[in-house]
Amino acid sequence: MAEAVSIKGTRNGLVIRVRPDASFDEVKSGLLRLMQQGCGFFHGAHFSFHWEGDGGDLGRERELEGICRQYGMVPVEKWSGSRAEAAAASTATLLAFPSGGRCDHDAALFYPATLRSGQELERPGHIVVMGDVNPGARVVAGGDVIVIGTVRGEVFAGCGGNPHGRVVAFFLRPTALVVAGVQATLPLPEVRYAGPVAAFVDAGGLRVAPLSECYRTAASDSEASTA
Amino acid sequence: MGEVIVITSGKGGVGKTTTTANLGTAMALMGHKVVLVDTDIGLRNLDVVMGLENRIVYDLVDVVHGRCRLKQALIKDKRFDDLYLLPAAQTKDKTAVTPPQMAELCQELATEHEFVLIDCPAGIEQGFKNAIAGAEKAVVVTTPEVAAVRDADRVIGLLEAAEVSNPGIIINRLRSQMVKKGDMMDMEDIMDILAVEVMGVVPEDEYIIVSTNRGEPAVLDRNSRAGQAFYRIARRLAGESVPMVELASGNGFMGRLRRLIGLS
Ligand SMILES: Nc1ncnc2c1ncn2[C@@H]1O[C@H](COP(=O)(O)OP(=O)(O)OP(=O)(O)O)[C@@H](O)[C@H]1O
Ligand SMILES: [Mg+2]
Repeated sequence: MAEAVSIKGTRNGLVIRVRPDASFDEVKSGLLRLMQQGCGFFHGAHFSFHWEGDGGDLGRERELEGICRQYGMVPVEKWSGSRAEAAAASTATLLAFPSGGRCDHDAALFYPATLRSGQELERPGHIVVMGDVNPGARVVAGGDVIVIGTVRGEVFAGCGGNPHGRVVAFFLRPTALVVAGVQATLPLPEVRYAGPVAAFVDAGGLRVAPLSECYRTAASDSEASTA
Repeated sequence: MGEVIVITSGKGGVGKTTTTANLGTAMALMGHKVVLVDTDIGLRNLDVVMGLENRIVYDLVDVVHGRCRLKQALIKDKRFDDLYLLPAAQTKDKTAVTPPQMAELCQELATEHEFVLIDCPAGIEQGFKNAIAGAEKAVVVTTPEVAAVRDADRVIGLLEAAEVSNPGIIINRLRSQMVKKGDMMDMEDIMDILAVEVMGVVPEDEYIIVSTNRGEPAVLDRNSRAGQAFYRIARRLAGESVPMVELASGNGFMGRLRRLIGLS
């Protein structure tokens, strides 16, 4: 059965959808659970409510809004448009849907800057770097590693036996790259593509391709597993 | 209150001491009140580069440990009335002072001088921590080599963590012929990785060695290309806006940037 509350990322921040037939208690506890799982990750994100069916009642919406505010979220009407907030909101969007929930640890780590030489991030879940991973820096994730920039350092995704881990970046020029236990032969093939590229493991081994291809592989994968 | 600026690099031998001596001398030439602090305890050099090695009686460690007053340890430059050097001790090591002691010392120096320039030792250990403790601004020196740039990156990360904000970089010993042949990292590569403000580019210049041996910083010689580059950087550091003539215009990132901001 669908959850009483679900969160969807949109260009205008997070939209919190409420299932019409759920009781208010279900909705409230569902929202609280989502916020707690978020581990502070929703902090700074903008949100609005979307009531499926005949719409919510204002008093109840206020109560839910209060819960979101407690976790540092900002209602959309109050959008102040600062870059930091916008960044927080857009990454929240990204992380609300981590690789189709293929990682056991849903909480993702968001690092808001370039990772410089000598700096290291390690997490059982996903890691998002809003910047580059420079030579001499290292990122180790049980899930995906997403770099909104260039990877020039060492990146490990899908550590600890997660076969779905992958590395996504605008440019992949690592000094070391290991995805789901498979070590890449360097230098990686240059992918001529004006968009994010991904390194992932499929039947043919470790591949580097435009991100869209990685989705295709993931989709056919899950069809196979549900069949 | 004066401004405390640390000159650092991570990698050794890239030109921190040369930079400190030249920027300080240039600022004095411009009429500012400047003090240079050598924090390379155990390996002091700045006194030689400034030509002041024969005048040292007391040093930084003596001041911190109360063996003399600050005024007694400050050495006045031969050429400028408002330029001073606080030398490092040569017979001690980096553990002879602590970061809080350095911060206090810098504070005191900044009450009497417009600019306090700190020559940092190589590395990222205690000596580095001492050198940055009292600084509010940092200049990171690198050469156009992969290893130096990586170490500069490391140091920028540490400076950011220590909240010494917005470090600028100086690219020293650039050989334009080598860059053209693709044998040396160019500005664009370096800026791509370090992503901080470039304060200036200093060419490789044999005259630096002559000037170091004579104890006469290169900025004092109008014919030294490196000296003139240091002079322009000093003016930028002192708040003047000086165009970046060092950056050859081209189709690289800097060329595009220069066109964008109407410089070419
Ligand atoms: N632009 C330049 N052209 C030619 N030689 C240079 C230049 N800059 C520095 N040098 C030379 O490089 C050597 C190292 O310079 P310097 O002592 O300033 O480096 P440093 O970073 O202070 O070294 P350390 O880490 O040991 O303190 C010196 O011999 C100096 O003369
Ligand atoms: Mg030195």
